[in-house]
Amino acid sequence: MNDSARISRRTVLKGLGVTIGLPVLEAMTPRVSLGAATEKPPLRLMIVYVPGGVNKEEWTPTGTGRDWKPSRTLASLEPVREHCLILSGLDSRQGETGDNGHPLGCAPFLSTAPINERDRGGFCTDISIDQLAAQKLGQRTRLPSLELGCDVDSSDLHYSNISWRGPGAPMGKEYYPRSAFSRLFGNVRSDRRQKSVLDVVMGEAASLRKRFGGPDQQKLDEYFESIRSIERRIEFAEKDAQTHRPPEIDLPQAVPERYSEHIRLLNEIAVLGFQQDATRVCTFMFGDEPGRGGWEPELGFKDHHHSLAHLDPRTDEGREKLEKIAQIDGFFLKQFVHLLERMKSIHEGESTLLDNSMILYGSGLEWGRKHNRENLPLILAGAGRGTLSGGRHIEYPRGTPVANLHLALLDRVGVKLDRVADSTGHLPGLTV
Amino acid sequence: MSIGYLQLKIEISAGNFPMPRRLRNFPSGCLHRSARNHWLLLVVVGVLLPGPTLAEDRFQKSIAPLLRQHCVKCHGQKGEPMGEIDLTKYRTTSDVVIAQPVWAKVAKALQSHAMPPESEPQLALADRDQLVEWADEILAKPAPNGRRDPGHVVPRRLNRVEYNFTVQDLFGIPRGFQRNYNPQSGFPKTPIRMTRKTTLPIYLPVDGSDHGFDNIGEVLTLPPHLMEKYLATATQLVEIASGSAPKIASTSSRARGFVGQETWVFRDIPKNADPRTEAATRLRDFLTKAFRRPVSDEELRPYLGLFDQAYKEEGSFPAALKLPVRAALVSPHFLFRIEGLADASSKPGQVIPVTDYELATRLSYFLWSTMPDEQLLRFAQRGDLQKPEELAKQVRRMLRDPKILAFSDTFLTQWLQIETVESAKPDPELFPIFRGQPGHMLLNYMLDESKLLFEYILLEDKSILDLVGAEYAFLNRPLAEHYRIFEPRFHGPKAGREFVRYELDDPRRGGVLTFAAVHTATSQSTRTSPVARGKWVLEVLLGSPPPPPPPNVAELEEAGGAAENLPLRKKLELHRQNPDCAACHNRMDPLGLALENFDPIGQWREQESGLVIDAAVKLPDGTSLNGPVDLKEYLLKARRDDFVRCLVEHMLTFALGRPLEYYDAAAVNEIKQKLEADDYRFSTLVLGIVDSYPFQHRRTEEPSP
Repeated sequence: MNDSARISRRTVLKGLGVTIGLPVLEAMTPRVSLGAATEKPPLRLMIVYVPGGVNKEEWTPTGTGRDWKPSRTLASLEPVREHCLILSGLDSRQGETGDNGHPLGCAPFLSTAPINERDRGGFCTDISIDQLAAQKLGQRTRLPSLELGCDVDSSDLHYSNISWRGPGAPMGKEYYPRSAFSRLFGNVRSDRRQKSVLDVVMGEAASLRKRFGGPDQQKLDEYFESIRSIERRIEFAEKDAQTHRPPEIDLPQAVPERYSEHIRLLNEIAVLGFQQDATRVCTFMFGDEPGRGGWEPELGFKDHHHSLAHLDPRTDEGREKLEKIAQIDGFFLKQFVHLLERMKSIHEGESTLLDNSMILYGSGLEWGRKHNRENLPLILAGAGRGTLSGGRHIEYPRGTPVANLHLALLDRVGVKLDRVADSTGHLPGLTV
Repeated sequence: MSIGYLQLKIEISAGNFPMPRRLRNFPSGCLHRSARNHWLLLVVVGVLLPGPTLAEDRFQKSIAPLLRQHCVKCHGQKGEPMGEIDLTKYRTTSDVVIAQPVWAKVAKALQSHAMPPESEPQLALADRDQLVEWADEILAKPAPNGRRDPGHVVPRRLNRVEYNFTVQDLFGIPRGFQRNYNPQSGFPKTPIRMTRKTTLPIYLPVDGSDHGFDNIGEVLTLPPHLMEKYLATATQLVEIASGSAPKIASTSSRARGFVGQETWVFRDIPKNADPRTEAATRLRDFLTKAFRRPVSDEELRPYLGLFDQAYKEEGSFPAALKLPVRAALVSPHFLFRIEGLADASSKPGQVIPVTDYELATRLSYFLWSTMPDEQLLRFAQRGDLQKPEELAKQVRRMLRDPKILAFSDTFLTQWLQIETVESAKPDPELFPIFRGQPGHMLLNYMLDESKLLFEYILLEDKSILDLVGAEYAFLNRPLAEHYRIFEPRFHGPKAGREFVRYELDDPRRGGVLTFAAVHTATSQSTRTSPVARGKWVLEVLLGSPPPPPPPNVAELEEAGGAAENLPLRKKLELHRQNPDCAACHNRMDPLGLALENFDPIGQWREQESGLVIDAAVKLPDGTSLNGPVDLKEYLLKARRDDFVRCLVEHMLTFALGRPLEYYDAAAVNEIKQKLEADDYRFSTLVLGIVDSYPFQHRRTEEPSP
């Protein structure tokens, strides 16, 4: 609603990135290491998004604490149960109004914008928590953050982005495994010429920025920041030109036909990125809102996820749809479990990559058919370098903002804020 | 000047007629139109009655009490009003009129249900409508100081279509126009072949779109990974354009034929010429084209510097040019259309005419989706675009240039929301043709049919009403078979994929309402969606999109009780019994149900699952319609005004690259008037947009406080 408030807020958050960037040594020192072991593996943050909510009947586990009994869907978590926190009762951005539920669940899923503080496109998309985390965790990596997704070419930004640099400025995402890989590990040719090119256009951008104000300047800022990020990659590439050994992986030219294989490859690239410390922050949208069709190869039916979600549970047809949604939920969760198992298989000294990561899994909607954003299906996996105690189901009092979880995650990566979005405090209970 | 008089003036000048009441309807989310329906009545009564006007009366009796009851608790003078909006300041209608920007915000907040907040008592739907309609009226009035606002357009990044066309035109790489005819000699009488080949193998991601169009500055963002693609593409392009590219993978014979030739930029110079002088001339030429305006010496200098650097190492003139050209292709001045560089002295918020070069650029991206050609730049340089007759001549020339074909590929398909119909997936079990390639081709032909009608109207300068009411169609054999139109021409020995103009004798075909592309795009894979079709008619043809459903609404199937196995029509009826749903679905559903004779792939049907299709509906304005033919008539007669306005709004949005705002209402009215006075000719629409105040002017951006 209020332009001035929004802009100043963005400036503040950007400023934050700078100030916390200054004492590099302190910033890089692991919280738990008491300054001694600088070799200790770094903390990583990953967020996995699934579209369209879930079949909550088959999702909700019984019992809380360590003794929770898995629901049908969550049963697939069994192999990694000890590494997962099931979080119930968290509400996303209550009172926010706007377009229909899918973009409203998706676009501001990780947003720090106050409720109903909109960008010029009408959504509350101020800088998202992954990008805040990247300002802190990404200072020493080739890429501050990696954005992945299995759906390509949506012209509707708000159905297809959870990661935002600022109001209305999505990070976009990589879809082709090859281009994701080459962004992380590719040989950025550090030729003088590319640099001279960038110098020239950077000079132009700088003088343009001086001339314009307001939204014009924001547009030019996007340009400026994008060029900066490329310059940064070149600098990094030059620094580790001698030591850099891109990992070996066999990637197909095209996108794999099987959905599960597409997810697996992108997961693998994220894992390699973490392993080689090429990035420490990753968001991965397994699917864009409002979901996709073509499930035959994986699940044997061709219904569209979104049309399945629109159902009447009192009818046979509705029950059948519910069943199919549960199968889709199970499919996604299985890919997530593979990811966690893969991370667990990577040893980092005494610990594993999974131990040194925080991976949030969830959807911006509870039920697709209700388009509601209360009691979201959420799983928090990994040990967060000893800051998360898994193996439990935590039921929070109804109405607890999911922003409290965001605040708690940011706190763990070293971004200290009092408030994001509609948070009322840090989410307790994640550590025993 | 009394309010009543003002209204009378606008009403007469706008040539509006009373029409059925509707809810609001600007694609931009601005809110003036429903209001018009009350004006005439208001004005007439306002003029007849002495004393306070009816508008004032309405404000005092109906509006102010609602504001007091629902808004001023937070937006009042006690303490600090929320959002610095103090509604108690406005005691009369005139107070409101001088604060239009504030009330535009209020109207937006009300319309989107953002206000009152959830925690406060809610407005009844009827009260909300009344407030929004009243605000519409206020916002459609000219500003009291007589100043017009042309709006502000942010620097616009070229979208991927524009980028592709622009780089090809910049280097002079021959473009394929995907048609076997040249618009210069008008619309052909001979069969038309449509191809889908791209000339350059450039892959760029899809751009964000807003209000249906992918050229809206606000959502054309530039994330780092896109910038990386621009850099990589620039490197690739200079290799292609300098003739040194290794074989590139391309399906187009034109491009294949092109590889290996150097373009004008990279042509070598005579042996005895001074490379640096020549480079300066060449680069100045190139940058003028790339930046779509002359460049200063100061701007040229760094590019010459790049040339010097490369020349020292390369020793070859053409090779050394690659570096500065590469830089130009990633320059903000190339990637963005930046206006206002020339008005250093203007104050923020000032309204000024666009410069000649800015106008040339606006024109060429509006009609061609590419950079201005040499003639436009020359006219801009001479200042000739300021002369109305020269400008009109240029526009008419542009409408006949082969590049105009981009207009149907971009504007038409996005306006009709059929741009993705090629990837539609009708159920192959229900519709066997979609088991394989023929189905895929059919989807392409559906799109071609739509484009050809548009191109015909454009090139023959027919009435835009033909878009709905055409008594002819462009068909090829597969499409004629799909429509079950049997005519020897489509089945003779020579019949094939070429399109020919077919005179229809059956009104069940002809015009956009009967396009299979539209029916397919608005259907699910196995069934039609009357709601989606109704929404389509409201958005695309009537310009009155329904607001989004409120959060947590009951689903269609749940709303009316256990509705198992009821026909869709019955389910929708039950759904509408819920007052939450009825307000909007009463408007959408009947329009969609009237199209039920078209199945999910646009074939005519009399029955569905053994039940006779009932396409008889009653609209909220009391009109009874029976089927698509009635709907067509209704749009062309009773709702002609709305249809014309809606098309003007869509095209103006596309031309300006920004959503329309309340202050654009006057421009829309002016264009509409011109159309009414000139048989709704297509060229009048385009010229009207080009001449319009917002197209010819710009407001400099106010700096953020």
